[in-house]
Amino acid sequence: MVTMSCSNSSNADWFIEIESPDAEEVLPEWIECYIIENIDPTICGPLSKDLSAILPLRSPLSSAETNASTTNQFPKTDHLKRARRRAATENEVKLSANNSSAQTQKLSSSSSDDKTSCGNKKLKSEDVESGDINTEKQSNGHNIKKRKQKDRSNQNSTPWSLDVLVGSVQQCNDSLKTATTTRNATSPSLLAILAKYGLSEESPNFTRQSLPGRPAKNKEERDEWNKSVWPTLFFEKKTTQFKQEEIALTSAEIELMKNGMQEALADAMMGYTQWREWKEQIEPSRDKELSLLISGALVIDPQTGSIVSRASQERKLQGIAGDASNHQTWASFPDYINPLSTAPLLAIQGVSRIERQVAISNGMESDKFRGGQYLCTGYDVYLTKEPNIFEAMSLVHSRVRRVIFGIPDEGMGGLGGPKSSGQEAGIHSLPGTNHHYRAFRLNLSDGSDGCIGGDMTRKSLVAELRNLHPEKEVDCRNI
Amino acid sequence: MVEGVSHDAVRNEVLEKYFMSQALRVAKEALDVGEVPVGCVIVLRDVNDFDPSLTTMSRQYDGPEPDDAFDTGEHQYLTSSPYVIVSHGANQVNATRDATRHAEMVAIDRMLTKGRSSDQMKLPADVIQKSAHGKIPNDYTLGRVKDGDKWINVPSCATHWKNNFGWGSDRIYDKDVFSKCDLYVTCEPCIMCAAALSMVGFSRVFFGCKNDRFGGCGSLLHLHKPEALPSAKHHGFPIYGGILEDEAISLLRSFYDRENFHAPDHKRKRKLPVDNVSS
Repeated sequence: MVTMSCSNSSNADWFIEIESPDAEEVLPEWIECYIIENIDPTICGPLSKDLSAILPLRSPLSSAETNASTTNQFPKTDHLKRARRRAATENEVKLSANNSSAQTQKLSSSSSDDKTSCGNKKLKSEDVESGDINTEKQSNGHNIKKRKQKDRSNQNSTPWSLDVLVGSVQQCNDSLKTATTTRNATSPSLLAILAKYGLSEESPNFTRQSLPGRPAKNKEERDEWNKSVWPTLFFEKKTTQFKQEEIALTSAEIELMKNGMQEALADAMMGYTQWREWKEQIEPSRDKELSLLISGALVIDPQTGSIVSRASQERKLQGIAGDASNHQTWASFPDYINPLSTAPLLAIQGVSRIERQVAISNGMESDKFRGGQYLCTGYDVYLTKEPNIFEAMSLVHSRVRRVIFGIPDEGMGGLGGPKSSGQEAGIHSLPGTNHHYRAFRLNLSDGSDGCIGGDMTRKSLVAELRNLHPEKEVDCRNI
Repeated sequence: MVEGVSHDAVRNEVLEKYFMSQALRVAKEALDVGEVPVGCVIVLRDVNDFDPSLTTMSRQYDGPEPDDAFDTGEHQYLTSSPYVIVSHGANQVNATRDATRHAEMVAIDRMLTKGRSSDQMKLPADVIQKSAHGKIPNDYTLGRVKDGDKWINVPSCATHWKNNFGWGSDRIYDKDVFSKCDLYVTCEPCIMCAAALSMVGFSRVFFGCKNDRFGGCGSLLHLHKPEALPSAKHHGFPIYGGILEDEAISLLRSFYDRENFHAPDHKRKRKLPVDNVSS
């Protein structure tokens, strides 16, 4: 059977997502940090607060750009929690037993408990500073409350110790260095803070340890770290695992994209037919040498898989004189008389034409219009050729969901084509604009072949597209 | 184009301010119909370049004396300069339901195709009139019949030869004309428009205020520079910013102080920041 031979095993090869170059921040696996082990619960809270004042774990959000130079010089510690509670080692149990009998007799267990929870509150407020996902904040707060109750009940059964994170080694060293050069009365030095709590760099419990340099990739890793390394903040929606699962294309989506590319090719073919029609219609002697590069463009509603608008359709509507109902002759050829009437723009105008029709037939106050389509929101655009910057930005303004194209344009392309121009290439993910879309290109390289349907394979699709856009000869080995 | 620039890069402050004030006039009319108030005019620098037969035309102002509304600079422009406004445009995003119908696109479309992708695509006035979901402020005049869509270079003399060039005169231009034209736009062209201006090959581009959100001429990208793209097909264009900047900003502010009543309910923002500028 034909359909069997066109199995979807090679679906994943069909399209390549164009990601913005700075999308993935490279973080180290581990970073060296100073921690103070087995700290007295009564000073944990105040110490954490004082440390946060001079060695904050979270980089300030508001001034992210202006501070880029200063924050970049230290490893990121946004994901680390300030304090860790762990089961006490045997030595520590002995030590604390001695201590408590000798000097901390007067501290009742209940008041020490209060102090601990106080420290935890401070930690919580620091988490809030980081300004991360709300639900996470809340669940953190929840955990703390639960833990507090657990603490009370388990107080006597399992002895535990508190460790406090001072900061990354680089950050601490920098702090020590600047403290000696500029003694500022308003912000105390690290040494002064340590001294305030009877600690110093020389204390035996002031140690150096490798802590996770990045947020956990998944829950298992987070639990593992919490248990045996160091507690971290965990944002499921920010993990690479979640992101990859979230953005992965389903095979149904890829099937739709394959069909969309084929339809875009058909649209470009139709465009050339229209161009020939127009040339034959005007004086044949003059226009033999007229040439025009026409690409194909269409807008698809991914919810239904239906084609909303085709460039060729809109070109016909704009090019054929309105009252020539009997002859249907071209009054002018939009792409030729206006260099800005390119295929992607015509396809966008086709969508707006439909919206206007809804507005006229139902009235703009109607629920059907008001709850209906707004610009190209949620729609996917298929192009035979990479859009240039003009077209790519018009798609941003139109708020399309995805753009899928065939042949890259290394000279003028707006979605990664011009490699030499660096950041100016990715209009779809330009920082600062009010809308981003995902961009995909057809994989042009030879590889395992899959069928679209009928006898159209990827190889034949690519060959046809190259035929359409010959001036952009691209060495597919470099893509 | 490069030749055009070296050949005629002479600045004339009086003319620049005059043309920008005309662009602002177009922008104000857009505000009246609930569009983002960005306007532009396209100025053909020398009508003789365009049509040599025009050299025989009288360069003298033969109409009535200019009234008080015209200062000496404008009068000078009216009587002697070879500069002519050949097109103008304001945003038509809401009227066409097409987010790409920015002022520059509309002005270019009017010159080349008689507004086939903009004016001829606008919703009928009676439909637009009811468009605001019953929330039109009293001071809006959506349904007003305006003749602002026409353009008259010399309003005080309807038969002046200069009035023979603008939108409404039925004159159609070839796409090569832009190399002889300057664009005056109240707000820095967005990335899309900046790329478009380079594609059609404008000689010079003058703008009022910056466009922090979408600007393609220095704010986000530098598409006016020829080296912005590797292709030899990208020419860029010389830019001159900050002309009547304060007027352009206050006009935009007056729009963003109110909500965009054309957007559907679920898309409408209650409070828009003042610097949220789109051209």
